[in-house]
Amino acid sequence: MTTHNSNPPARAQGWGHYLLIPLALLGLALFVIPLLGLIARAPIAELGVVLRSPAVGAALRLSAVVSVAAVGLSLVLGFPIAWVLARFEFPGRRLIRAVVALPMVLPPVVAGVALLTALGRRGLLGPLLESLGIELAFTTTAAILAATFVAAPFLIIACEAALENVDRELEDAAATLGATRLRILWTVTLPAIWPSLLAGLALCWARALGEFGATITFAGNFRGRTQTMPLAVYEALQTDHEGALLLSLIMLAISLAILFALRGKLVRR
Amino acid sequence: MPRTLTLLLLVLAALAGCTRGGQTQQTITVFAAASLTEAFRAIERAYELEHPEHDVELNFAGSQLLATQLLEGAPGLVFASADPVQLDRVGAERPLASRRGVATNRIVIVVPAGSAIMTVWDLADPGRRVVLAGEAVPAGRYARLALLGSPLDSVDLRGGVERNLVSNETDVRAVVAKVRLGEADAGMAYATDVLGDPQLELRELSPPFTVEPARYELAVIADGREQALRDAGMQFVEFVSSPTGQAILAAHGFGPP
Repeated sequence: MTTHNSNPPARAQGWGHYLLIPLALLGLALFVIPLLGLIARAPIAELGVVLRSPAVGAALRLSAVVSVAAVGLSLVLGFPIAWVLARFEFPGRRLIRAVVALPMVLPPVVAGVALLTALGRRGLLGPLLESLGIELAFTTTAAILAATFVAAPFLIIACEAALENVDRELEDAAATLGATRLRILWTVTLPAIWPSLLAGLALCWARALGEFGATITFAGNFRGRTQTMPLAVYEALQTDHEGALLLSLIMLAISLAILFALRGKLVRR
Repeated sequence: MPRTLTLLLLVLAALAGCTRGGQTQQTITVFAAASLTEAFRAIERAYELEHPEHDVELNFAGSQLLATQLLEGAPGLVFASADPVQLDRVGAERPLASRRGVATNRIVIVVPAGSAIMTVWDLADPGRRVVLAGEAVPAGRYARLALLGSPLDSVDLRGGVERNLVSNETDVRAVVAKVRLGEADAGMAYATDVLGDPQLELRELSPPFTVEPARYELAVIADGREQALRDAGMQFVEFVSSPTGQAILAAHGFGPP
């Protein structure tokens, strides 16, 4: 469909909307019906019992710890990557950008296998870690690393895009006024990219919270240590699918709350 | 725009053609325990040679997960469970036909080649990293039953092993994978899972830690099917318990039912 910007606003011609609107509704149904299914089938009356069960308590606590730690780690390591990518021109930058985004498209199980081949006992860094007395596999640290690996790209990409849009003249002005690099970052750059940073953090957290494949591959499945909520849902599904439905519903509510609270804020800006 | 419409119609026509094309062959969907992977792939090939009118589709996972899927109405026609308990679960809600035992297996300790772990007692040594299948998984249930064989109440073998337990895997193959990767020092899996793998060795359980063998049972999920499809499923079950099917299972290390 062509648009003529010079013309005064006119109703677009054609029947495109007859095609697009039903398809949009069909697409919406695809997203909404599974959620309705969960809500309709889950035995909500038993929610209290399920929430009080030790396995669920442990999984909720662990998910909180792992996802928050993963977001923290993503911020500490990911923001500098975004900053370097946005501020410096160097050979291989595009390659690095692609590598950093790779975990977003990689099947999570592959991410888990990759982590094993790097940090597992027989992995590339296995002997080094062993000589340092560090054992990662099957520990909460492994679960955090797995979540960070798959979730950090969301933060990095959001930050990099925002950093590239920051008005460099403001930063330069601050520099001529004698501000140090860190002070410029804190007082000029960060406030400018705050909404994008928040969006990146929200997506990063939601992804870390939902992480399953890399975790079960790299960190295993052990209650209170590596069994986060998604793993608990999967385990419950094998025997007690009513319980699994309720756990899924809890996950759904938490994820929706994160996206709603944080993304809503950003779009307004 | 008319061109788009033509394209759309063409796509729809093509899709309709796809569904029509599959009519000549009947599809037998088999939900099979993860430990049966290689054996049932071989059985699939042999069966399809004998019955070109049938197409066997295999879906492997832990039997407990397959049972849950079947209880949720998954379209599996034949269920090959590593544990009669899981078939009972399905049978409580869906009618089963042609149910029978087709093979047996035994739980062993799986270790990386050359490991110093020799007996069940070594699994309880402090600092060992042991991986089992989850309690709901057949291999996990059999393994825990075996550990209960501890002769002295004062020596809490199972407690010692549980302390060393680092992961509850969702099927027996995941247990073997963690041992093969070297991430775990030992696991408990079926003897057939280790067969022909130079990286792994097995340690047989000796009395009093022996349990009755794992029993593999097959059945056709008989509700809501046309008679012809039910018959096809029964033919597959017959084939697995026929001399040919039994020979394939034996070649993959399974015991007779």
